[in-house]
Amino acid sequence: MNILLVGHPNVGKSVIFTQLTGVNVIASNYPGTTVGFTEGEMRFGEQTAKVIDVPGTYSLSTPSSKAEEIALKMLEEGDLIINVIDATRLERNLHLTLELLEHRKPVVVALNMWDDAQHKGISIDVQKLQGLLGVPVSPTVAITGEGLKVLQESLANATLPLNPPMTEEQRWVEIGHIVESVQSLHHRHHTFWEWFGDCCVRRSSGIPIAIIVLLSSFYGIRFIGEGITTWLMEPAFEHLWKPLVKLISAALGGDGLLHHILIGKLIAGDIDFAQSFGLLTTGLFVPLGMVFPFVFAFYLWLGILEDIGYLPRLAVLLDRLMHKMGLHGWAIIPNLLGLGCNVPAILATRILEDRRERLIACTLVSVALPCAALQAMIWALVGNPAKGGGIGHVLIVYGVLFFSWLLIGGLLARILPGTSPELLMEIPPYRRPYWPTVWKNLRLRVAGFLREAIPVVLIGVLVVNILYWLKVFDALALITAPIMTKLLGLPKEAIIAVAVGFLRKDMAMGLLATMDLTIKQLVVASTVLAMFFPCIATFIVLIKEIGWRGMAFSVMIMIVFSMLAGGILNVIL
Amino acid sequence: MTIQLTQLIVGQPARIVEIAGGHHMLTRLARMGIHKGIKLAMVSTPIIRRGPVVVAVSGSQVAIGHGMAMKITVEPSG
Repeated sequence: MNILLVGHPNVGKSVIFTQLTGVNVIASNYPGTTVGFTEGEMRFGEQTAKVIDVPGTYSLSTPSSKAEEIALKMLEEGDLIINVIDATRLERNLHLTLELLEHRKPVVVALNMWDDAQHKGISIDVQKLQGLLGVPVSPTVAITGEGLKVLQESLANATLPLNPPMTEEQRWVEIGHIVESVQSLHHRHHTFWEWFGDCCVRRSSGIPIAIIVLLSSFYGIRFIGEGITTWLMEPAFEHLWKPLVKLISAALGGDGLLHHILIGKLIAGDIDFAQSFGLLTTGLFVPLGMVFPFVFAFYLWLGILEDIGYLPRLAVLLDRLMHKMGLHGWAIIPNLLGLGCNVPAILATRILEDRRERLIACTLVSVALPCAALQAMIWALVGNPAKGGGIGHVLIVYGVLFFSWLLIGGLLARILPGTSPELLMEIPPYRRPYWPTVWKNLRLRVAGFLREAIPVVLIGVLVVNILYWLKVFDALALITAPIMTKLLGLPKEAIIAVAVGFLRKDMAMGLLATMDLTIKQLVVASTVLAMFFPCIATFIVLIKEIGWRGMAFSVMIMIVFSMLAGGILNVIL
Repeated sequence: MTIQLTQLIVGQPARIVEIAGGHHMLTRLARMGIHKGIKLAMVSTPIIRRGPVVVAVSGSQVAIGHGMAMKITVEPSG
């Protein structure tokens, strides 16, 4: 038995899903967080039923994005539908409900965000609504779990609605009748959050607020990330882990193939976690000591911005700019996600309307947006005063990437046939961050990072060390030497880092750290690494989402522009 | 008196009298609850010239791109 959760975007389907099944999924305060589908199980009477969290959709007729197409297809597989409605937006939500009632499947309605509706002075006569719709209706507050038991019990009473098909006009008239007879509004004053929400999209206050938010994000993430590295991770590695690794190193005799693989090189007779490049040293220190703190800080910050509801406001502000790149404001969401990890960012492009937009957005994400792991390493290497670097050098890298983002977007908008669709987007209400959700999203994302990163980095370090030992890289370095040395001004071994970047870019940066580069070479190398070929995870998801041809097109752009950017930096720095 | 949606001033309520768009645009708007006859109010006019407008309609706020908003004719009320 398949139970589907169907409703508009951003009405809390994912939260209800988690409550019913115990399976955690990311939920946020903007439409379009669920773009694929998630399955879980729950008890239904004596048996177990499959529960499916369907991407949000406004209507069953003519899907307007990939996410909606998925939703429509899944509807065919459902045996029972839980239609989740936002009680604060009854009128708008009922349109989909009426469409579902014509669909000849048993339906129950969850009137979610019941508490919000009460705060907003909206009261709804549930009994009457139930009578008018002819299916069970239960008020729920998904985040606290209130009403979900009643909802679950109502599933047994789900009836097959017998509504005759209506035209669009008739539906709106019907909705008018229903809303008028079940809903009453009480006057109340605007809350602070409503006032603040309006300020964020207003002419005078919107841009200053955006600048404050973006600057504080930039410094806040760095402050938290560096704080964790300096006060927690480095001491832990230095004082707890190092003595143990030293014992192993001594036991292995300080040399030989096994020592080379496990410990790596000793720097001035000592273990250097950033440079030794063994499995137990750099292989663990890069993902845990250097990258994890930054990823944690980034997702904490993003999670708060998401939950408050700021991102759709940013989309409104940036709509004009995004139009110049063949996109509209909404596309800022996948682009921001790309600064965390390119894989979910590319999946998130499913909220965009057409293929042209998705191709542009996917290309921009994978060429110009460094993921959090790569950024952490850029800060650690290029921003390292011991190497002659600093915030100025880091800003050069970010500046070049940002400029490439604008330039490539502008170019694609001109050369790809078609026009960019207009922005049309619901803006969710502002609310105070709900910490359990923020914390759950953070845990899911950080755990996802650790699960993915640690094995790949360890395997990568192992392979690289073996290939080094076998001197395989020497041949590769010889072939590509002209590009590396003449065009980019890097030592010929830098090609190894570029090749390793296909596995993971943070590890590639870790390899650069062992190469004793000047600060200029570090700036060039990290820019090229950021823009060049995507890492394997991004590569696979690109093929899945935009096809082989789309991927080939994107990759061509990456190669051309990374060489261009690297070559120009090499000349002018 | 009717005006383009883009000319409506902040805070003023109005009713949609005409949407001059093709079938595709009409369905896109309708699924967001924006259709002929419905009441709305302007929340914010574009920050940057030709940017989107934000309107309050049936209990929530919707951002509408400039090109689309120009094709919506409204009659200010009250």
